Amino acid sequence: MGSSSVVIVDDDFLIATFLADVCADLGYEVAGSAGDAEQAIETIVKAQPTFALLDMRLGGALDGVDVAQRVRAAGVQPILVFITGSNEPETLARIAALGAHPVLIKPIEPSALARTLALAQPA
Amino acid sequence: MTTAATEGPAAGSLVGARVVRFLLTLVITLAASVLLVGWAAGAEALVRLHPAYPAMMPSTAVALLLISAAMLRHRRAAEMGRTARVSVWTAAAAAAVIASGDIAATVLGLARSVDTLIWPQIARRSTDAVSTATALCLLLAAGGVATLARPAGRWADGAAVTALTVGLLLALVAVVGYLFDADALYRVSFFTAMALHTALAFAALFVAMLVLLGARGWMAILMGPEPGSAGARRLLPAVVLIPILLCYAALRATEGGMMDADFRLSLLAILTVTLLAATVLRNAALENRASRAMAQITDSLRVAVNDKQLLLREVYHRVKNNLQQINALLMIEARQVEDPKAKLAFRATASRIVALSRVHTLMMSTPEPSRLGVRTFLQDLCGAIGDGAAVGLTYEGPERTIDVDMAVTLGLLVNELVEQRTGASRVELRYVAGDAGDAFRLRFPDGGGGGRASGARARIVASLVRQLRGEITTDADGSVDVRLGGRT
Repeated sequence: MGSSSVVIVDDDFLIATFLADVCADLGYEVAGSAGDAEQAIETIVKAQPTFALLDMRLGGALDGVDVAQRVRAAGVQPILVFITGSNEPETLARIAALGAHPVLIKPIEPSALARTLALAQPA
Repeated sequence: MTTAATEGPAAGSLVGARVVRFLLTLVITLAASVLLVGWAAGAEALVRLHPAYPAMMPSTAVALLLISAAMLRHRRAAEMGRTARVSVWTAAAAAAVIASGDIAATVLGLARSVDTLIWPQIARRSTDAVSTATALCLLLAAGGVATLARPAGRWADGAAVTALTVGLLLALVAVVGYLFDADALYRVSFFTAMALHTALAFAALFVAMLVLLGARGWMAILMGPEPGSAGARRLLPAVVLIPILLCYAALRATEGGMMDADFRLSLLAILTVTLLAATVLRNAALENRASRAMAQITDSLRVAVNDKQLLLREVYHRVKNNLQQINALLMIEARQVEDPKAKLAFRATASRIVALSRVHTLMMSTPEPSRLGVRTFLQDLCGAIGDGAAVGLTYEGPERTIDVDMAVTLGLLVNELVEQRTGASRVELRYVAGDAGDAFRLRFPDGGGGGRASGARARIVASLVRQLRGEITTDADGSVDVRLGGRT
């Protein structure tokens, strides 16, 4: 697990800090964090992490799905884990359109994050 | 069984019905009184409206007075005391006796009628007698007023509406007969000698009774608050008056030599068709306008409801954001704390906030944000709580909806009971929605059952159970049963 890295993208820095703590406790390397879409794309493309935890709402015109699409367009393929504050059908449908990706609904229990990352971890 | 709903029209229309009843009955009472004075004083001008027309007979006037008195005494059946009811029935019975006497005299061909028994001088005029139609109208009116004084009943109401409608039609035939050709009316033996003012008095009386009987039979359609009833009220005067007025005008035009009698029929037909069609089209235009207005109102309401739901979802989202931040703060703090008890307390509080937050998550996605389905809520909650333990849900019974307050309390209670376990990795929640009230049971199949809560958790559990007006019991193996007594 020591080689797995995570980039955390959330416009709420308290939650980003909490997620970073949990990931670190679980043994993942936190390769960076970002609070908006532009910063997120730059950080993920640069760090090329194993996982990208992407919040759907990023406080700007772009959301988590947009970030994922641009990162992929740049040739980077992290395992995407989406984080959303709501389970509204529109949000879930938008994520599903991108493919099958785990979705965590806030607030996130550390055990739920651990389970999700472990299941998504490449063999 | 009498209920308020079957007593008659609603309060507003009841007041209107009583005003109509009062005014019409007052006119009839005054007319009958003047007529009796005319008979007593021998004043011909007071007993017949035209020298060529028959007079209203005294017995008819007396019977009309009796029925009018009963009408004025009438209240809703539920408001009528025994004395009032008996007085109404007595007046109706007296009127019926008079009418029966007149009918018997006609049927048996007796030389003496009720009037000639009381006022022998009346016998000098052959036309001055109670017609069969008048006697029948009196009987129908007596039956109608007697029915009004009894509690509502489907068959009695139906019979009363039918009787009053027949009476109204008889009176209107006589009135229209006078309008067109009185001699022609007299040639129908059934109507012979029915006075014009008698016919008018009966027409007014039957209208007053039908109005007072209220929303029953066809009157229910006419008096109803629905758009169809409003349309009927708009159309009916035109439908009734147009043919009568056209026929009258055509008759007078023919008599005045202004048109040929045969051509009269063609003109009458086309004019009737044209005017009735115009009435129908006018009504259609009004309906269309009302429909467009209703569609606009519906659209406005839909927009308002959507706005409200969006606003509610935004509120839930913001509350949930704050809860997430509080949760993050607690978890960050818990990470820094070394003391296991303090760490546990932080985590317990964080898990309570997760449970609270789940309610707001669901509120954002349900069609009716102020109500939640219990099954959906528990499914979502079980997936979110447990911190490492798998919480499985079995739900039995119909889906219930609960309001936000109850969902918060239930969610917190389930979370507390799950969290009080001591190492169990599996928790089974069985929720039963029953007719006698809802209940749920928490089991810990691989051991490590919850046991009794202690300290702050015990106080929280007790408060939440009390909030749900429920009861809680714990088995020796740590399984917990909760019976809910509150709203579900």
